[in-house]
Amino acid sequence: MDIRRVVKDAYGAAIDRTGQCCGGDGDSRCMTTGNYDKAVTSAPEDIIGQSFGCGNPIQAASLRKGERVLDLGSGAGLDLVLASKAVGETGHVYGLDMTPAMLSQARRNIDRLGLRNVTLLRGYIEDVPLHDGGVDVLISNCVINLSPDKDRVFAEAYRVLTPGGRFCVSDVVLLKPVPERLKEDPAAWSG
Amino acid sequence: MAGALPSEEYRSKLERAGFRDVTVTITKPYALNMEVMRSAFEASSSADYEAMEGISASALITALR
Ligand SMILES: C[S@@+](CC[C@H](N)C(=O)[O-])C[C@H]1O[C@@H](n2cnc3c(N)ncnc32)[C@H](O)[C@@H]1O
Repeated sequence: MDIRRVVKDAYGAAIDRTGQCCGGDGDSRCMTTGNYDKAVTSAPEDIIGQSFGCGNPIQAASLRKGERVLDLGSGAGLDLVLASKAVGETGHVYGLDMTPAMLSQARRNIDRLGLRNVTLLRGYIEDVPLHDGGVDVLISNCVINLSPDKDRVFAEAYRVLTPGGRFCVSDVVLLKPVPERLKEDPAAWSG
Repeated sequence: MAGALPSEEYRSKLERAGFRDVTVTITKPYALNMEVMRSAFEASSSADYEAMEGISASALITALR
C-alpha cells in the first residue's frame, strides 16, 4: 500500500467534498471538535470549520513576534493564519503539504486575508524543502501519524529547527494496538 | 490513525532524533477523523469501523531541539 497516495486521496476528497471536517461541530467524538474557541480565535469561522486538526498547537506554542514557524501538513491553513498574526510582519510562516486541493484552499484563505508573511510549500514532511536551522518553531496538527516514515519526519524536524527551537505538535497517539486486519486498511490509516 | 504511535514510542523516537525535554500529554479521549473515515469505510464493514473506537487519543507533544 502506498500510504502517502492513500492519505493524499482521502484528504483531497475530504476538503473538496465537504469543505470541512466531520460535518460541523455536532459530533463530539470527532477529533476536530472543540479545539478552537471561536469567540477568541482570530480567524474567520469558515476557515476554523476547515480544520482537520486534533488539537491546538498554536495555543501551546506561545509564538513571539519575529519568529519563523513551519507547519508540517498545513492543510487548509487555519494554523497558518493564526501563526501569521502571532509572529507579525517581522516573522514568517511556512506551510508544507503534499495535497494539491488542500494547498489551493489554503492559498484562497491566505490571499483573502491578505497575509504576506506566509509561504506555502508543496512537498513531503519526510523531505522538508528548507535549510538547516531555518525555523524557530515547528508546529503540526494531526499529520505525523499519517506518515509511513516517522523517523525521517523527526530527523527532518530536528534538522530544520534552530538550536533551542521548539517542537510543538498536536497528534494522534495509540491507546491500544490496532487490530491486525486494519493495519493495512486505507481507511484506518487516513481516519 | 492506524499509523499512530503509542505515547512512549513517540517520546523515544523524538529523543533518538536528538530532541530533549520531550513531553507527551493526552488532551482528548477521541481522535478519529469521522468524515474521512465515514467515506473510506463505505467500502469496509461496520465491524471495522467499530473496532477503531477507543483506540486512539489526541495528544500535545512538545520538545526542544
Ligand atoms: C488531518 S489533515 C490536517 C491538516 C491541518 N494540519 C489542519 O489542522 O487542518 C492532514 C494533512 O496532512 C497532509 N499530509 C499527510 N501526510 C503528509 C506527508 N507525508 N507529507 C506532506 N503532507 C502530508 C495532508 O495532505 C493533509 O492536508
